[in-house]
Amino acid sequence: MNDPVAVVLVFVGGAGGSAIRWLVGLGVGEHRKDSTFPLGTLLINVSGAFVMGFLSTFFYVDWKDRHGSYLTAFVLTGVLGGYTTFSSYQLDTANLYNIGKRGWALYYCVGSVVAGLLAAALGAITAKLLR
Amino acid sequence: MLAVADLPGGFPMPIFIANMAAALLIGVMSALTIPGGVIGPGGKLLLTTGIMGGLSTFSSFIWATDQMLDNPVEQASAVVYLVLSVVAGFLLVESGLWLGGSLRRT
Repeated sequence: MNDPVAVVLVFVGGAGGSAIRWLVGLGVGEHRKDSTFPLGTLLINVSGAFVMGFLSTFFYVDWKDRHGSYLTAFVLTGVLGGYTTFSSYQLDTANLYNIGKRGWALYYCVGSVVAGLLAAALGAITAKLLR
Repeated sequence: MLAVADLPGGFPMPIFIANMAAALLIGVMSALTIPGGVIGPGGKLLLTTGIMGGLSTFSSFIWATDQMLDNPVEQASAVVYLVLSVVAGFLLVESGLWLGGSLRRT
């Protein structure tokens, strides 16, 4: 909390990112009562991983340096941190598991991580080609 | 993240703590916000989608794993981080759901 400007940037970025996540979720229709597979959260997390890999590589941001600059605080920690979600991902997995769709729970759980890793790597490769 | 340091070997402790705390709490809140529960739909949106979604992060989790896998010295930490986050996160959500369910019945 030693830099109030950075804290405000993370706060505002995180709020904005979370609002975008909610809107994308609505758009994809994950709140429809008949859809059990959390497609919205999957697309959000995988696209967020791509953008994270792309921006970090493009701007040479070391992943350990999360408090590096105001831009890092706002975009990477704030917007992308707010946009993507680990808690909803795990809740979706648990909900699928608890209603007896254990196969889907496993596909979703492992698929999110595998697709996320591939998307982040793809984002990094794209950035290296462009910069 | 300012209060918690990375461990030797690169294990990203701050992100891990944030994600695990959010996993437990979203379970508790989810159980308290089912229809007819203690908290209404607006409160659910604020607490789960807003605050827990904001506290936790998937992009930093995946990107840290990806970068650690690229570094031979940190590969072991990467695998531990990945598997532990997913397994412990799942168990914490289930614990949270159970805890929230117990709270709701009292």
